[in-house]
Amino acid sequence: MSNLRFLEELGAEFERIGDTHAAPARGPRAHRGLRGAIAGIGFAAAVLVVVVVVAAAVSVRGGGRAASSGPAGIVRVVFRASVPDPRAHFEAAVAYSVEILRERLRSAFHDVHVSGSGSEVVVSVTRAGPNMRARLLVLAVPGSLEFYDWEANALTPSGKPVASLLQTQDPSALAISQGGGAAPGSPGAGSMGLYQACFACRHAGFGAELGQRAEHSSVLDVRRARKRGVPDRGARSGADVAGRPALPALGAH
Amino acid sequence: MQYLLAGLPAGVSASQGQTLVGPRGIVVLQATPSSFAHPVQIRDPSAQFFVLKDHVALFGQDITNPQQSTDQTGAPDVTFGFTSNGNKAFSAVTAAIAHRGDLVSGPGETLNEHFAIALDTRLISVPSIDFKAYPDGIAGNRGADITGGFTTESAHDLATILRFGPLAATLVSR
Repeated sequence: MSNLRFLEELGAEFERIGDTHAAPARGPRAHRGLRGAIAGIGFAAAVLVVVVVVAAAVSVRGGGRAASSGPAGIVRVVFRASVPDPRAHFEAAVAYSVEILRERLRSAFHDVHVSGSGSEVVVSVTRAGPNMRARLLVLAVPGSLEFYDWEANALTPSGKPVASLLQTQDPSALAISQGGGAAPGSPGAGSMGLYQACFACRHAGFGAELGQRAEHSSVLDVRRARKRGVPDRGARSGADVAGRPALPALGAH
Repeated sequence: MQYLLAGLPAGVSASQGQTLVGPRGIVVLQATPSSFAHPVQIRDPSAQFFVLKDHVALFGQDITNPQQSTDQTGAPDVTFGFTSNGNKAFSAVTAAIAHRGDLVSGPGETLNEHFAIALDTRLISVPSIDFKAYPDGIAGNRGADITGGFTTESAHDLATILRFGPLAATLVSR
């Protein structure tokens, strides 16, 4: 569809260019007609060339997709690893992540190879099927699960908690709490764009800004990092991490 | 929680590679995706967010045995149980939510309140607590489930992510 639209737009652009070039013509009618015919042939030839090129490009893309979905297809993704927690030991955190990622991917793919070196993590999946790259990326998310009391914690654009404004029937609080026709938490249910979200942080007294880095840490943050399974500076190597009893057994209750 | 954005949507005048870093004590979560298989990316100008105080009631390690399953309508979902601590925390938070819902609802009016489940920087579900059916909250000993918008594959993948726990590093594909 987008290729078709691209062709249409390209054709319109050719017509516009054709018109621009044809407009200054001042010769006799017969000459203008001949010029027009030549211009028409040129235009048709140009469109034909474009169609052939685009068709070839589409064909090549399609071929690539088919190849990656075949039994011999290989998907290879290189990740750059960063460790958000400044207290974490970088190498240990990456080694730990490689281990977890390997386990995740093995539950979804047959032949998976995951390796880490420095800040680079390389994943190769052989016998890859369609959409494997997208699925691989989904499985490579950090994966921190958190539960919140929604109304007690969600802030309106004014920076005040929804729960504190519901009894006054504040419209923005009601929209976030009840969704206003959409499911709570979904786009349109009192949600904000990125800038408005930044302003809500500011109004809440937290002073969020683009490019501003939080400087403070606390015991609570360290404890939470541990709860999330992030190895801190106490872990000095991948071996230390591998020895942690943090990997739950498959199906363990 | 420190919140990082490794990119900014179009229209935000910031240099390439600039990050949005929120302060501790606040979390910015992207709205629930309509499709877990094809979620709106953070950089997308249409991406929508909610701002929350970062008071987490339960963490991923408070749940047990996440599995891909199906709900009563046959739609794919993710079920899980709770640890002992998770059970207590879940019961407590749903009780608080139910009591508040009862408090703010006027005569003949029902304003159920909710809890939110987030994975990383994205909300994945905001279920309501029916204060009339569960005036003292929901006991966590029978587990819970996450429903809505899943395919079998995306539900399986979420269960897999939860089963093995979070990564310690953030991975960005090159």
